[in-house]
Amino acid sequence: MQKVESLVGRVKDLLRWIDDRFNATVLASVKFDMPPTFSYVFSNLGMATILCFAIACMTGLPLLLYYKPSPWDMAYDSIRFLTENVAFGHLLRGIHYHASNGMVLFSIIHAIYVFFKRLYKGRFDFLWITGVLLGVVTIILAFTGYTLIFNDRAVEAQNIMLGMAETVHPIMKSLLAGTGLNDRALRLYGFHIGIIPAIMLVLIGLHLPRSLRISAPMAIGVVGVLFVATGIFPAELGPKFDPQVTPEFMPPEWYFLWVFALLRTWAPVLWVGIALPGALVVIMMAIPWLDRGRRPKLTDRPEFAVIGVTSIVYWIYLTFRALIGVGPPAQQILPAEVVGVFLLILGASTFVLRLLTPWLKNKPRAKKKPSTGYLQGNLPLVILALVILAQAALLWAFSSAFIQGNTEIAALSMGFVIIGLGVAQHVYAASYPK
Amino acid sequence: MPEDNLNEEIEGEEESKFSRRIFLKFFMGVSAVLTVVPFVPMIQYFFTKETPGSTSQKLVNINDIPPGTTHVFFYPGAEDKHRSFLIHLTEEEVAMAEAQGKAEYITDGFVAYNTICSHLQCPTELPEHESVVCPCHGAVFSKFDGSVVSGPPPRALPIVTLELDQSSGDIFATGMIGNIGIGRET
Repeated sequence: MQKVESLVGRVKDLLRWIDDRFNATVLASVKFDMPPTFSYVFSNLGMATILCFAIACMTGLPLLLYYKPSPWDMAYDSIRFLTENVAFGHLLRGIHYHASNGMVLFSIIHAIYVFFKRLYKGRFDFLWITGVLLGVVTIILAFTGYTLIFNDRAVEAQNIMLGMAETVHPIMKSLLAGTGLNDRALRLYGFHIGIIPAIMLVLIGLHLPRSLRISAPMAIGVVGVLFVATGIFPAELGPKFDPQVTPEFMPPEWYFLWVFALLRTWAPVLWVGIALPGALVVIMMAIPWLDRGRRPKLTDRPEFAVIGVTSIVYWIYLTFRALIGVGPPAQQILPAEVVGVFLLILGASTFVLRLLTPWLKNKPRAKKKPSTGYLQGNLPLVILALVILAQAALLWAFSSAFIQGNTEIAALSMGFVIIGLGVAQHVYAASYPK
Repeated sequence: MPEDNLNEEIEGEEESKFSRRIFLKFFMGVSAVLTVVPFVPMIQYFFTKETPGSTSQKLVNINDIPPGTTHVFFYPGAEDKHRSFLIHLTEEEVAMAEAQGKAEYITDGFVAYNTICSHLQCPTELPEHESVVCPCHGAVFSKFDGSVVSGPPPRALPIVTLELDQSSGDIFATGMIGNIGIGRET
């Protein structure tokens, strides 16, 4: 027993030494935390976004070992080989894909939260600008990622990208595609794995606040959710592109559906494909200066509440509308419909928010949760024991699924094992008396 | 901070709370270990088996390779390390090989071996006189069976076994004795 205790003491000394040395580096501004209560989900969205970026990097680097950046056959076959013949290749690609989805999704909700909470005022206006730019770069990064597969959908996306680039200026096309197909494959690859991530890292450096507190259970939970998402929606391979055959049209990724809907109004590409999204980005960046009010509460700046709600509802409408009447042949979405629905949503949200304002103003403030741990007695022990049992069972499921080559179940059970650790950490932190 | 709490509890000598804390820590440790477990087999991602090449491969017709010439071919795959020589020996050379006791792998005057040096895997030069020389570190192999004449290589070059179709005169490679880059024992 004495020996064990002295060994534990030594390990503790070593950990303390490492911690002390890490605190001499930039890592000192990052604190891993186990909050004793449920952390507020919305304040973790930025962390979730950056975590997804980190995971995309960590899963993307091993993918480099198998991907061949050459057009059509070679690129597609290398991904097929990775998916079908490499152990955990399918899983890794799925995590990479869902990390990109997570980056886009979390950054959108993060922006919405910051907008409604008016956290962009004061010194934070700069963070808001870099945040908007990060959002744009994120979407470009995700886009270049799915053009690399060289399946039908990827080549279609490339063609539309080049078409839009040429609408701006032919020089844009030569920037993206070089001298031809081989260059295009290599450039998209270079942009995806090197140039855009580098730009991203610079912007991240200009966006992260001075000190970071990362909720460890929440971070682990996000990782688990990515695995679960991979289990439920595995990364698809799709049909290989064949230049002799007209590919079956597939709608773009979900974050482009709104532009897709606008393009299907048959309005000039330069307007709805380039100018409108560009204008939206500029307007978004200008928000801290457009919002001149002094009082932070949403009810004191109703016009911004209306803008926010209208934008979200309209975005959801366009996203789902884009999936209706895809064809073939694709049907036109009448410009009158797009404009009319916008005005309708604008009017409705103004009306509803006006109705809700008195209630929002008098809404009783939510009680602050106690900062002490809320799990007392032996309850946390019981919960932890159950979590461990569940994890063990899931590990068994994982191993049998892995042996049978069932990637989906393996990813799913792995995800729940990871979420289990997040739960365990939370229960542990919540069991502290203060 | 959690650590401070722990110390307070110990100082307060609250035995039950202390053991509760230890149990909680232990359980969380177990949970963490269980979470790490499924990541361990992921290391397999980095290791994939090489795709095996064809077993039988037509090399050349007997009419296209007169005695005293060398044909370069790739077997069993088409990668640089698969480069091999098919040598049609003259009658004097066959006699010389028999005199030296190095005629074991000669079939109908032909011999073939992989040309990746068994020392440090450099490709060798074309055969000259009685030897095949590796340019990197001065290894010399016998032209007749790829065995080491002098220099640093530990083992002889891997032999490509041949088969001659007597009716058509096509020469086929059928297999390999030894491993590419490592050599053969005999």
